[in-house]
Amino acid sequence: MYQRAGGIVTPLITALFAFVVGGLVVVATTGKNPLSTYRAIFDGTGLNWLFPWVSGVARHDAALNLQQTLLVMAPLMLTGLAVAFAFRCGLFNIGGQGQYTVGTVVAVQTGIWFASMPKPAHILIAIVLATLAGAVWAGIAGVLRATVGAHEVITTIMLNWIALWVASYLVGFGGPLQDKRFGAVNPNTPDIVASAKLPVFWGDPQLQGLHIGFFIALAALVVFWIVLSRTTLGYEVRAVGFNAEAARYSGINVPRSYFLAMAISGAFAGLAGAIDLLGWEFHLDLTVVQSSQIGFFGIAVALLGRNSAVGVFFASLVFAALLNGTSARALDPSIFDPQLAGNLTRIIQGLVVLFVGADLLVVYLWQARRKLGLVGRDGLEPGKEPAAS
Amino acid sequence: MSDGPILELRSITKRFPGVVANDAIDFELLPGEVHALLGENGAGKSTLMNIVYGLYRPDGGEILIRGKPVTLGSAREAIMHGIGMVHQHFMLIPVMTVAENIVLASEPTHAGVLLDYAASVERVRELSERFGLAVDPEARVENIGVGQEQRVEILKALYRGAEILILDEPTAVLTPQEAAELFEIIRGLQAQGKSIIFISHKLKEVVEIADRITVLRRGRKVDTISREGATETGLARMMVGREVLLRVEKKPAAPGQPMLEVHDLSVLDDRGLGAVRDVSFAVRAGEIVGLAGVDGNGQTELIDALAGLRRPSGGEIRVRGQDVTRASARRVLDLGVGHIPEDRQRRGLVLEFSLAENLALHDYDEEPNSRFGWLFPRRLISRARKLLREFDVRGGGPQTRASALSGGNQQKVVIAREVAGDPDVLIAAQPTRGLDVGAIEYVHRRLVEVRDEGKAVLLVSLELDEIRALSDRILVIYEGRIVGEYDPKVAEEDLGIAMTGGGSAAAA
Amino acid sequence: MLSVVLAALALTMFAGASFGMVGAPTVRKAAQVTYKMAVITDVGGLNDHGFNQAANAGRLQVEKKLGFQTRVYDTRTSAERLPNLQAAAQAGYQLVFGTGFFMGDPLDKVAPKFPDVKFAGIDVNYNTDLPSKPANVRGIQFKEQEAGYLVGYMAGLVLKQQPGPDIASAIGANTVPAIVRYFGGYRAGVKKADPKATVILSYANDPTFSDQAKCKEVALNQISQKTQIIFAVAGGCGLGALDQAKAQGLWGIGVDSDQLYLGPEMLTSALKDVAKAVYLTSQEFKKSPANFKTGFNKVFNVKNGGIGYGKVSAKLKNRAAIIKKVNAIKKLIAAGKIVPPAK
Repeated sequence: MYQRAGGIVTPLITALFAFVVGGLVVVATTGKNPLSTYRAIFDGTGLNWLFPWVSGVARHDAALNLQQTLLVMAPLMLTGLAVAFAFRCGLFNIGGQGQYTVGTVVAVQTGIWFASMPKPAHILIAIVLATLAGAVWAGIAGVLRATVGAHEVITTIMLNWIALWVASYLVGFGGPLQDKRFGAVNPNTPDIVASAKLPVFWGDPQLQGLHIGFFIALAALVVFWIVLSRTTLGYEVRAVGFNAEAARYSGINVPRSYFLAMAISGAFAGLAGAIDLLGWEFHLDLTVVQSSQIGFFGIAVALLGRNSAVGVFFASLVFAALLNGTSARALDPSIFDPQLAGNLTRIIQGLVVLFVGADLLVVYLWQARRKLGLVGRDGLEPGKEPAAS
Repeated sequence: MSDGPILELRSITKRFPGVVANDAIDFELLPGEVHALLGENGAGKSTLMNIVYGLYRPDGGEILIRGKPVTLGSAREAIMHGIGMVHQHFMLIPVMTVAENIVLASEPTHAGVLLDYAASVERVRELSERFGLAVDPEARVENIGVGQEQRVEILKALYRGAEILILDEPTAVLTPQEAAELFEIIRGLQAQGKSIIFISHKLKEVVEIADRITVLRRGRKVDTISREGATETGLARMMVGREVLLRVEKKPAAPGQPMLEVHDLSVLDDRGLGAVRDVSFAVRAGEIVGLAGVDGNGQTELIDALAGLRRPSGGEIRVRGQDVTRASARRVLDLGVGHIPEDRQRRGLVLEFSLAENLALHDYDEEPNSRFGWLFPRRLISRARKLLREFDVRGGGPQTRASALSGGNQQKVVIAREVAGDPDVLIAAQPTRGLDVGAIEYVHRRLVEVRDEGKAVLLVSLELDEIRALSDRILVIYEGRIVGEYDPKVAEEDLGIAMTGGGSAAAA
Repeated sequence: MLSVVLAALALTMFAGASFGMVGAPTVRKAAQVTYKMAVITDVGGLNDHGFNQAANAGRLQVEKKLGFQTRVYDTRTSAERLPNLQAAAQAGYQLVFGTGFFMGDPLDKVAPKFPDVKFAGIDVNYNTDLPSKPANVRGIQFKEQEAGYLVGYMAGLVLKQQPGPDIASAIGANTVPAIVRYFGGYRAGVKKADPKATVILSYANDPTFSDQAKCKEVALNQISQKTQIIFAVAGGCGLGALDQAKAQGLWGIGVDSDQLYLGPEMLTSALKDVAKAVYLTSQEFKKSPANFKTGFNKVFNVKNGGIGYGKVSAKLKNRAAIIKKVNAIKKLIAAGKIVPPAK
């Protein structure tokens, strides 16, 4: 039961805990009432838009904030899935960031090319190519794991750096993708053409409104669930993830599963890069390449979401809300020093990750308790196989 | 056997949510006695002993030591009362020496903070000589065998002054030779006046070692009887609560065509050393061939090679005449080779998977379970429901996780899966390890049924009784070579000698 | 005491209530007109030792000396650039600064939606970075060559007075226009003071401005060519070069902000005074908001105080005399009598 509910309950409880402790930090550092800060963070997420009694200007602002929260949530869902999918195969994909970056690079270039293509086709080809790029990038780690047994944690970290520096070169000064107009003064690419931009369905398309990438990410959640629970591939991936030895004994091609799981993981991350780029970024610049954390947040999202589709949905909402709710826009500088505000985000993020760890510990202890026979019907004979009843 | 009992349990009751693990159990242990506690998995043996060792608190009843009521709130208090326990899973620190393990785990006895290592070694040596437990005090635990580790655990308890020793399933991890040595040790301890509680579900060894036997079934005490009146059949009936067939009933074999043929097969182990050397044999339809041998003589590598899990370094394997020497595991399966792996929890099952999913491990990718990569969970479930009924799996339905089942039922799931595929060859590796009497009976009956259906069965087991009871022919493997073929009526001693490298190959 | 507590409580409650209206103009009926100014920093944070920090410092001066009501929006991820700009404009800030050329794109999109708000982009070039040419944005540019000339001139004077070869050098992160301009001025400045001197100019090819190892490598190369003074024009990367100069007992020259805090081996720094640019721009706005001109590039230079040189090492021999000479040159530049070359 605890396991089942974990997908939804854990992220929320964990986040709540983190906020409470974060609140204590607020009291300790500012001496101010933490409730008002919570209120500000909550309003900053735009989730108050869901309350029917919020009206007028406040409602307008809430809508803007919620758009931004969901805008961040979309790629987080996908990078979360990128970690979760590999995890279900017993692999730890730390390379979401690199796969995301590769996705943005391919998306920006395809978005610039094919200028004469009709809009849906152009979007489709950009998304498909960027997704494939992410899959290939992660697939490298998968191949290495499957053939020579190189651990994916090491290889994906190295691939992250390779992606970072290759992308830095490509968009940076003198790089082949750098915007050559106006004397090539800035380290960024030109904008993609209008036909490659994702339609905005909520908010001002000029002002970073919410694009349909959000629905693409939601669809990816469904795909994730279907692949895992309704296909033979997912069956293999889960068997390998739970017990690679038993999978091997029953004739499942374990190396092939490793490769495919990594490639699919990478596809999710590459897709995240694509929707960010085609949805609101429109071009790549050096700071984005070098400072983006979306892929890394995916690790925390997957951990918090317990590697399930539903869990990832809520965990990405929690993280996106946290990121947006603690932005400089939400926290009044007269109450909260702007420098402190940035740190508050990190504190709460750190606490969430910490509590995820603690949560895993709780689950572990819970299971260990059963194994030790301290509770329940399984516990009649400690140290032995549980009895049937 | 003077005075009253050294340990007496009166009406001990222990409840866990939904279950009464111990229901008003009375038990007494006399000084210098070996008292066996017998029962199936889940009968409440370990719960009772954990109460004695202070790990659980009873919900009712009392514990008397030398006639005085005591409360045992922790293992520490139990140790102070002279109770020592050797758990099934050893609790030793691998990187430390034997002496360090024995001394460090005890109450500090040295003045100051420095460990007097030389003195510890001396005391351990003294102790091991007194009780006839041969160990090297200065050897590192990681370098000694399982049997030795067990001795270290016993010494640890003795070092702490144990008068009452609880041995929890001590033979489960031992080879027959090691078990024989353990029994010598137990007799030696008994001679020195120690009282021993011997937990087991193996009838034969209980009858061999115990003075008295207490049988538990489903949390209740059935009876305490003395060795003189005990028979294996009678004990089995008490344990299971019904008549159990200890002997395997089978008709004479009617061997047909060779189904599995092995020629000059050589296999390397994980370290690249020769584990199986030039082995040749055949298993024909309608016969059970038993492969006997002491653990670690190449059985694992041989099975792996036969199942397509390990590339042979030389030789040839044929299934129904087809060369499968370099075939993948999946292809070997598809050619009709079923495989009951030796470690069901690690290799036979995905414990986190449901039973339906576990039952589909071989054919999830075939119709009707799936089509074009699309899985039909409902079909898996409905087929699983049928198989679970057919193979009498209890304790869960198709959607129960495999981990929730008892060992016997888990093994039934594995057998159901392997047999349901209607294989021509069935490899059964240690199919009854860790199972209790009732489950063993079931597994044996199934294997014979498979044989009678005209399949070729290769049985690999460390239990000589099992090999002799089931096999139509016995092959003995020693250091990777087949050193002899025997008739199942061969004397156990002769087999034992062959298994340890003595004797010459005798024709059946 | 109680009243203080009550006041604090009231304040937090009020704050809590007003948080709900993130972008809404705070209703504050003051007797006299208060101007409102906001600074939107770029990714890197308020403690970046670069122009985010400098821009924020300028904001604090504006608040203190000009009486503006101000606020800083610290941008942490690229996704926040545009929403932060938008939030500031919506919150009723009349003058909104965006720092760094990456703000060009968000400015280009946000500014047209708020025609009544004036925007200024620091290091944003109105002619090239704002494709839609919004009428209410002003680009802010700097004449880096003048700062380069000043520190180059001082370097030349130092070369002349100290023994050893008359060689000075500079390390740039990359061929960014600003660095090219620094270089042009620097070379001319050294030559002006010491015509015999050799000037070595090298690029570390570090697109990130943060790889200290790269600048250090270039510095070692220059040191092998007997340079006596190293001008590091490379942000974080340059710190590696300055470290190396310090280790070899050579002079280092900082860039953009006053980097004398790095140690007495720092001769001086070429100042591109972002804080001052923020201050001067706000001052101009305050004078007459209606006449505050936008739609062009405002260029800061020695004459208007946006460009200069920093504090001079206390260790320098003839310090006063040298400063006097440099200041004389500074006057000439301000008067337009000397025009340092831009490359």
